[in-house]
Amino acid sequence: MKRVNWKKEVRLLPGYILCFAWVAFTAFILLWIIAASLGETNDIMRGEVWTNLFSGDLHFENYASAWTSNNVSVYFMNSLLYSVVGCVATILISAPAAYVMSRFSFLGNKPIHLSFIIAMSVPAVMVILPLFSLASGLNLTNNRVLYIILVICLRVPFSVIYLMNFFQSLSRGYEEAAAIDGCTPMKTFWKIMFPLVQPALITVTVFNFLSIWNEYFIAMIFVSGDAKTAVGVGLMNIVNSMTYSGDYGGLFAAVIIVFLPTFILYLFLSDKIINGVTAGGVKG
Amino acid sequence: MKKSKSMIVCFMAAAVVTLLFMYVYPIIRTVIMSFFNVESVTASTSTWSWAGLDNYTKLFATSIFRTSMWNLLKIWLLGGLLTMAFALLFAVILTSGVRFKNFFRAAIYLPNVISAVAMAAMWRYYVFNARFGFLNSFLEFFGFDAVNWLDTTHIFGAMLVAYCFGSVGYFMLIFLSGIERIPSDIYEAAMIDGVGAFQKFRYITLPLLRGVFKTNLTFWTTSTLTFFVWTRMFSPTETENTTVVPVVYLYNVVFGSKGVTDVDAGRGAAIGVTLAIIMVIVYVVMNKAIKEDDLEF
Amino acid sequence: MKKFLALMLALVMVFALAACGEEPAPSDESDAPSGESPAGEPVADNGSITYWSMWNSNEAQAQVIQEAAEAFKAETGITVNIEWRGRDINTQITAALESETEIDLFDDDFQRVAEQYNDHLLDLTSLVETNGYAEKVQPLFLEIAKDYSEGALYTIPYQLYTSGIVYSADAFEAAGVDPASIDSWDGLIAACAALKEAGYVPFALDGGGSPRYMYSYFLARLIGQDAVKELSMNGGWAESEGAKQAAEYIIELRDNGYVLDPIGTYPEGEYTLGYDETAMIILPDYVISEVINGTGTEIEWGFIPVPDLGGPEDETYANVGAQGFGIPAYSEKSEEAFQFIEFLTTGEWDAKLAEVSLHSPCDVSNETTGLVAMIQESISELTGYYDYQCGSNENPDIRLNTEVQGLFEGQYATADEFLAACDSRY
Repeated sequence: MKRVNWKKEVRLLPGYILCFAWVAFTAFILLWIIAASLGETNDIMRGEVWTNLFSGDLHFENYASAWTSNNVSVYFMNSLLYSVVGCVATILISAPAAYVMSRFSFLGNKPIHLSFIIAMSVPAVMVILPLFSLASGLNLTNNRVLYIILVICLRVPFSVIYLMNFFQSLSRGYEEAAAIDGCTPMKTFWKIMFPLVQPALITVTVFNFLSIWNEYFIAMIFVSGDAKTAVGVGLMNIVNSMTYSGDYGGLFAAVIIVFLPTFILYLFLSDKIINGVTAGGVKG
Repeated sequence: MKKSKSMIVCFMAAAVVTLLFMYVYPIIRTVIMSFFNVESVTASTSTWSWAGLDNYTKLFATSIFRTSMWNLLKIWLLGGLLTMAFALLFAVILTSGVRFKNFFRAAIYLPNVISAVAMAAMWRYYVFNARFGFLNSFLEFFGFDAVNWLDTTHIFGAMLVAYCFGSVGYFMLIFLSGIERIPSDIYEAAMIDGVGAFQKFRYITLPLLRGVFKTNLTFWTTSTLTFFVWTRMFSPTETENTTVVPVVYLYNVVFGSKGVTDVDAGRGAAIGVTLAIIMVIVYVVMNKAIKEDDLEF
Repeated sequence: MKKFLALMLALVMVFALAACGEEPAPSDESDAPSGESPAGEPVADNGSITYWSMWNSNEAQAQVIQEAAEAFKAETGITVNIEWRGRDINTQITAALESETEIDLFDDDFQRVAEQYNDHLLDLTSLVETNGYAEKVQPLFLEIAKDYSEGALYTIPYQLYTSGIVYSADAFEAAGVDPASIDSWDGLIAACAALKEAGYVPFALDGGGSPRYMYSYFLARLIGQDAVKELSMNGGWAESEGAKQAAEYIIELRDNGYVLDPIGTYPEGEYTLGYDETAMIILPDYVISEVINGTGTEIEWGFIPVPDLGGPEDETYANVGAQGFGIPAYSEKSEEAFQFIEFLTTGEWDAKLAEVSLHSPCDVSNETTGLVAMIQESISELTGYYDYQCGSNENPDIRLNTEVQGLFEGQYATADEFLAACDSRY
């Protein structure tokens, strides 16, 4: 264990303070959400969530009822399916495209690049409804496969743009070395370049997973029936019905359940992000 | 390096198809729709009647739309400055050698992982609550007067702060990955030359982050243009001037709102097109203003 | 890395297979074993209808409707397949109707059904006639429904509600206020003073639409709804005597501490009624079930119309509303669907729905007690109705939420300042 360099630590003190303050606040609000999920509406509205927590009057049944009677279990499984399949497929589509677009100039490269950028800023509402009338004409509404396809299409622009940045920064020496070894361009990509951007792939997958997991608009229109809908819509339904049924404790319980997988995923994968770009290799 | 045409086509095909299917077709249809009088979004084209630029002129003459655009500008500019400043600050702090870096990084990003619905609910029912809320308890503890954070003068600021808090982590991560890509030999050379910490930041870190700035600005613009859930959570019963944003107005126009049954998909289409144009303008101006072709490392 | 990819691909394949396989059907409880009534005797299977409901499956109304569907099946042999679409059904229904999705009936806010979706709906006039439906239910709402669609009838209203002063009977008793005394502005002010003496804040307020609701109600009482609509569309607030008077009323309430300060947000503001801190609120009566659900309060409730303020429209005018059923024109089961609608809105199930939701029953022959009776009576005495927000919503582009809420918050010292602020929006 390295000896603590106190001079350095003191110099960094303002930074520490800021970080601690920010993190402490985050922890505090997270604790509040957990406490609220174990409480009743009354406690939440009257600011008595903390006294409720400390008095030990914990309503664990909020979780049970959220999971079953509020159908959170169904939403959960659906979202899991959509997110996992969506993430993998998005990478398989976006990474090759990002690589090719960042490396080669070809007809349509810049327009396609610009199109992806514009695509990212189009509100889902405007795009989905024309597609819905198309789909309903073909009798494909409330169809899981179609929803997954749409969700992938939604994430591809972001993933391509993000990955392009990383592919651009890789030195061309890799491909040259591979060519000398007799590797075809496609193989070069899958065996060498693709693994090289692993940290970026993981980051982008994390973002994609979160986005698909919490996705709302498209799910609402394309898989709105209770059996197939996703967590985002489910949560909004619970919030809406909250105002009429008054079960705010249940709302926060549902929130915690929904948020846990993304949290765990992030904790688990953040290690990989931290390991950074491959050291060594050829310097440009 | 060899340029294999077949590889290009093969690798691009799927992505281009998603683009065409998901974006080109609906966008073209939406753009066309914005020039027609269309009532319902899914109405068949035979019911459309030509309107020319009517949808647009009427749109910009609509007071609530102008208010929503003005709110959007405030969110983009003020919120952007606030969020980016904090994101960059944290990124720099975390790369300057503090301990527990992994922990801080995960913790600062955490709010982004929690769904906006939950975060907004928490801010609204707890932090900003005028009678029992966290902020007011804090203020009163130090002897200040409580403030009604959710009244008409404060609610926009409150919503903005809540939104920015939940966004900082995301942009911090991107800044972090950008700073970490700067080779350490540049910094070592600077240290040998006796450059101070602040100058190090200003003359080395900042310029080399240009590319990352562009990425962040792009994502930030996208995020603010589609700002929706926060407004809905802070103003759940009615659309209010203090918090309205274009997408919320679009939603009301396309689906109707409480007590309003007139829907106008043509106008909704015009809003969508306007937002997309803004995105393009920002992107083009940004690319012209921030050049990074001279960077290679 | 390779192993990771391989694992992911394997997972993808497993899930893809699962996706193509069967799906769980968690909320399809309306499928009772076919052909068996509760008594165990076989009942004819007369087909099924599909009902898209605006309720969420965990709401009280949904549970009653679910039970009603099972009873309906026992009686008629028709299965009702219910899909609980939630309150956001307005975002899904138009698209579904346009594409002729299989729906035989659905519900939503009755004004929306009558005005917004009517292009796709069946005119129910003939069905109503053949079934003699109109004689069984509250006439006012059918009239309003016809008004919305210029004579044709596209919706059958239910969950009828009216609006006025919802009050805590406990608070009134503690303060010695007789609700009948609130029949004019002076009566209202006197009641407020008494309530304040007894330690209550007289008026609760919700953020959002509630301040404007209160102001608009006063305004409509003073100058009539048509004049309010005129102001909403074209401005001219500073020239309106009525607008100024209404604003001064609010200022009077505020200066005397008769309204909640700080203004509550939604739903916290209305919950103060349940916490025994405030005594009255001017809103539609659905606020009562919201407060009960949110606070678990057991106070006694009361309901009186907003008093006559000396204008052209007196206390027999109120903002009323309802949810409404609609039947798509392309449905081939319209008669069965109407049968179910009638089943729900008359007789036993109508009474049950009224009970759980604290709204008025549709069926005039259903007797009620307590709070629901007060509401039912109030409805039957109405001679005219207001739109939501009593006409101040007429202009969809200019809504004076911020200004009116500012008035309640104390941002304008005089009524004139407030009116000038309103006019500056035009």
